Amino acid sequence: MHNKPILGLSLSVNIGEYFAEFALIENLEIRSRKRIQHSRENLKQNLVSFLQMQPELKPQLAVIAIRFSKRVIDAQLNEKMGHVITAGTHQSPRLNSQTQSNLTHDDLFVPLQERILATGKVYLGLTDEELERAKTELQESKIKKITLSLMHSGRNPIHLNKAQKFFTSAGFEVFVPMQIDIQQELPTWNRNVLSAQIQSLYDDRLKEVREALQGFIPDEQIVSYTTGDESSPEPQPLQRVFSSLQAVANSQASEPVDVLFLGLEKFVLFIGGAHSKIWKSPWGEISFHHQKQIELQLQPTQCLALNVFGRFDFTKQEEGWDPGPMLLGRGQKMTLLDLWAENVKFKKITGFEDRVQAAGIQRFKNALYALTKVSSSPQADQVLLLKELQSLMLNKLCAETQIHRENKKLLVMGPLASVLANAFKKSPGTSVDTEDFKESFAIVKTADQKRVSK
Amino acid sequence: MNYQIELLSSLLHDFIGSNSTIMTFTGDILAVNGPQPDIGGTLPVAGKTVGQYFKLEEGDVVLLNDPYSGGSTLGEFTFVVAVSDDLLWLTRRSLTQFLSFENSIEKEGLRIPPTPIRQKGQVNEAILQAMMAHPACPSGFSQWVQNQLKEILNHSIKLQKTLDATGFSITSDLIESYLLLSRKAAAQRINEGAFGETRVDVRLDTGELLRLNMDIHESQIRIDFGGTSATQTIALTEAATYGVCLSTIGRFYGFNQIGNSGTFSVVQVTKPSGCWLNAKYPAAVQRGFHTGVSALIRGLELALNQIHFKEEKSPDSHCAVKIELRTSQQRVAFDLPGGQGANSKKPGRSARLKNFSIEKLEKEFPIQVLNIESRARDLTAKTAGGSGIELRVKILAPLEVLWMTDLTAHCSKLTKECTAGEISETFLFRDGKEQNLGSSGQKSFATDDILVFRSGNGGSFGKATQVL
Repeated sequence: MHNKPILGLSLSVNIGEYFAEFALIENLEIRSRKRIQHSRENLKQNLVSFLQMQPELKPQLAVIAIRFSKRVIDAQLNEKMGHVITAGTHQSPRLNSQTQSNLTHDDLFVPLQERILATGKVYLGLTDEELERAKTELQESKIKKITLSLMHSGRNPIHLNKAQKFFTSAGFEVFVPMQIDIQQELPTWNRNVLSAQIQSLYDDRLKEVREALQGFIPDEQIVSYTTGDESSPEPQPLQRVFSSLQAVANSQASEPVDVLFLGLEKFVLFIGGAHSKIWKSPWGEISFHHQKQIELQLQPTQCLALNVFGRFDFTKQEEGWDPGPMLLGRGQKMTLLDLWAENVKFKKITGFEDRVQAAGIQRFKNALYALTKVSSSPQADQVLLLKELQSLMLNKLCAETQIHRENKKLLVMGPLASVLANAFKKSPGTSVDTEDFKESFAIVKTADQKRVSK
Repeated sequence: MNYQIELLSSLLHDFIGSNSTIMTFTGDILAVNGPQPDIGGTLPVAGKTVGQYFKLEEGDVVLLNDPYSGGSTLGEFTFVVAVSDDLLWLTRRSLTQFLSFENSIEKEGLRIPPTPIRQKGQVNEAILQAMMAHPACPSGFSQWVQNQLKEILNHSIKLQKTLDATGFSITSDLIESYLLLSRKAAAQRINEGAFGETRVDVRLDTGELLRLNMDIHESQIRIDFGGTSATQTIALTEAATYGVCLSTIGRFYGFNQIGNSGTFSVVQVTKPSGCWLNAKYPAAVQRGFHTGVSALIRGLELALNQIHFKEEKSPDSHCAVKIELRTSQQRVAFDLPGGQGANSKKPGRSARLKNFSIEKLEKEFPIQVLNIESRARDLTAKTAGGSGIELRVKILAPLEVLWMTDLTAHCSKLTKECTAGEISETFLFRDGKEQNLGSSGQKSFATDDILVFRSGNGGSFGKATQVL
C-alpha cells in the first residue's frame, strides 16, 4: 500500500441502513456520484453499473463504510451464538438491560461452574469435566460461535485463557472481551458480545462489495473504514456501528465545532471536543470510546399525526424508509419529509430526482386534509397549513439543536441541509454546508489520513 | 405561526431534563419531567417558597434539600434557577442515597432550607463553607455544588439563546392557552374512562394505615385521605403526597407527558392534618420517600383499577428492596426493584437493575455474589406477573448491612382475575439454619453468613387455560 495522501481517484462506498452512496472523488472533488435505496435495489448490481457507466474513471483506492442501525442489529441477534458465562452471574447482562432488547437470548447462556474472587484468588477451579459439559451443551444446541464472560478475568485470566484454548481447539469460533474497563464487567462483556454478533453481518456485506469491485480495483486497494475507538489494537466490527457519521464529525477536528448532520436516515448532532467512554446503547452500556452524539427527537421519517390536544404534531414513531414517506408512492403514514415533497431543493437531492411520485404527494395531501377535518384547529387553506407545519418543523429542529449544542460554532450539513437551512438563519455562530455526499468525503479523507500515519 | 403550543411544549421538554420542572414566578407550572414520582408536588412548592422569600434576578440560584420546603430526601439537592425575568427552572440532583432509620430529620443529615447560593454572578462561598463545617455534610459537597452550578448555569442560558435563535417568545397569552388546552385534554381523557367512587386501605409493615377515598366524576378526580393514620415510623410531606397522586394519575390516563398546572387542576387531594401523608417538622422522611411513596402508589393504582374494573390489572410490586453495605471506610446503596403486574392482554414486565456491577461491588466490599437472577414466579396463570430479583451474597469479612422494603404484610382486595405477586423477602443462612430477617433492618453479619434478598413479583392475571 502506498503511504501518500490521496491525490488520485478514490471510490467511496458508504452503506447505511436504507441508502448506499457511491462517489468517485479526486483531489477532494466529486467526479461522479450515485445514491440508491439498497433495501429495495440490488447493491452489488448498482455498484457495478455505477463503475461501468464511467470507464474512463479508474479509482486507485476504494474505501468502504458500513453503518448498522438498531433495527438491523436486532434482526441479526436471532443468529445462534452461545454466551459462556460464570454460573450465578449469567442473568446479570439481561437484568441490567434497560430495554426489552437483549444481546443474547435467554436460552443461549451457558453457565460455567468456575469462580475467581475480586482478589484474583481462585475460589472454584475450572475443571476439564466442566468444560466438556459446556461443550456438549453447546454442541447439542448446534452452536458454533461463542463469547466468554468470566468474573474477574481482568484480575486473573487463568480460567479465561483455559476456556478460550479449550473451545478454540474444539472448533468453536471464540470471542474474548478486551479488558478495557476493569472496574465494571458488563460494558466490556456487552462490547464483546455485540462485536461478535455483528461480525458475520459485517463480513457478508463487505464480501458483497468486494465482489462488486472485482475487476475494477485490486483487492489490496480496498480498505474498510473504521472509526472511534483508538483503545483497541485491532478494529472490531463494533467500530463500524458508528462509522461514517463519526467521520463527518471527526473531519472538523481543527477546533471544537458542533456538527448537525441532516441525513436522509438520521438527524444527529455531534458535540465537538466531547467524548464518552461508554456508549449507552439500546442493549445496555457498552465500553466504547466515541465522540458524543445526540440523535434528535425530530427525525426525517417521523410520523405526523394529531397530538393529545387534537392538533397536528410529530409523534415519537419513526416510519423508516421501508415503505418510507408517502412521497415515494408506497408509504401509508404521513411523515416529516412529506411536508417537503414539493420543495425544489428536495427534488434535486441525488437519488430523488425521479423518485418523488405525484400520486404519493396527492395521497399525502388527501390524508392531511382528512385529518384536518377532525383536528381541533381546522385549517381550510391547505397551502397555509403546509407552510405552518413546515414552520413548526423548522422551529423544532432549531430549538432542539440550540438546547443541545455546546460549542460556539455549529456546522449544519448533510443531504437535507439545503432543504432545511432556513431553520438556522437566526442561529448565532452557525454555518450551513449544502454540499451533498459529505460522508463520502469524510471517510475517504479519514482513511487516507490513517494510511499516511501508518 | 398557528402551532406555537406544540413548539412551546417540545421546547420546554427538550430543555428541562430529568427530575426537573419549569414554572413562572407567579406559580404556573409549565412542564414537569420525572422519573421521581413526587416532583410534580415538591418542586412547585420549592419554587413558590423561593419566590416568597427571595427576589431572584436572571442567573441567581437558590439551593435547598429541606423536605419541608419542597425537597425530598436529604441526599437530593434542588437547584432553583431564574432563567429569565419570569421563569424559574428547578432541577433536582442526587449526591448520596443511603438508608436511615432515624426518627428526626435533623439526625438524617444536613438539612438546607432555601439558601441563595449564587447571586449577581457570584457563588456564595461563605455559605458553602458554613455548610461544609456541618458534621453531617457529605464529603466533597462544596466541589460537587460548584460542578453542578457550572453545568446548570451553562444549560440555563440555552433557553434564552434558543428563544433568540427561533424568534419565539413565551408570552402570558400563550401560557394561558397552553394550560387551558392541557386541562381540556386531561379532562377529556378522564371523561373517556369510567366514573365512580371507591375506598382502598393499605396497611404498612410499620403499622400505619393509608385510607384513600377516590371519586371520579365530571372530569375531576377527588382523592380524600380521611381516616389515614398518624405517623408511627413513616412520614411523607404534603407536597410529596400531592406529587405522587399527580404522577400516578397522569401515568394511568396517559397525560403525564403534559404535566403542568392545567392537567394538575383536574386532581383534588385532601389530606387531614396529623396523618402520615402530611408530615410536620421534625419528622424524618427518608423511609417515607421510599416505602411511603410505594404504599401511596399501590393505594392509588388499586383505587383506579377498582373504578376501571373492565381494564383491571394485577398490582405491581412497587416497593423495591433497598440495600446498603457499610464498612468503616465506605458505603454503597442500591435497589432491587420489583416486577410489574399483568393484565388480560400482556404479562407484567420483569424487574431490571441499573448499572449493577458485581465485580465493582466485590472489589469494594468483602462479599461474594453467589447468584443474581430473576425470581421464580407463577407461570400457571393466563398472563404471568413480572419477576422480581433474587440476590444471594456470601459475607467474606464482618460487614454491616441495612435493608428496607415494605408492604409485605399488606393484603390487597383484588378482583377474582387478579392475584398479588410474591412479597419481598430477606433471609439469613448461618450454620445451616435459615432466619427470616423481616422487611427492614440494620445488622452486622459475620464471615460465611449468606444473605438472600428477594424483591416482590408482579401479580399474575387469570387462570391458566388447560389444553387437552
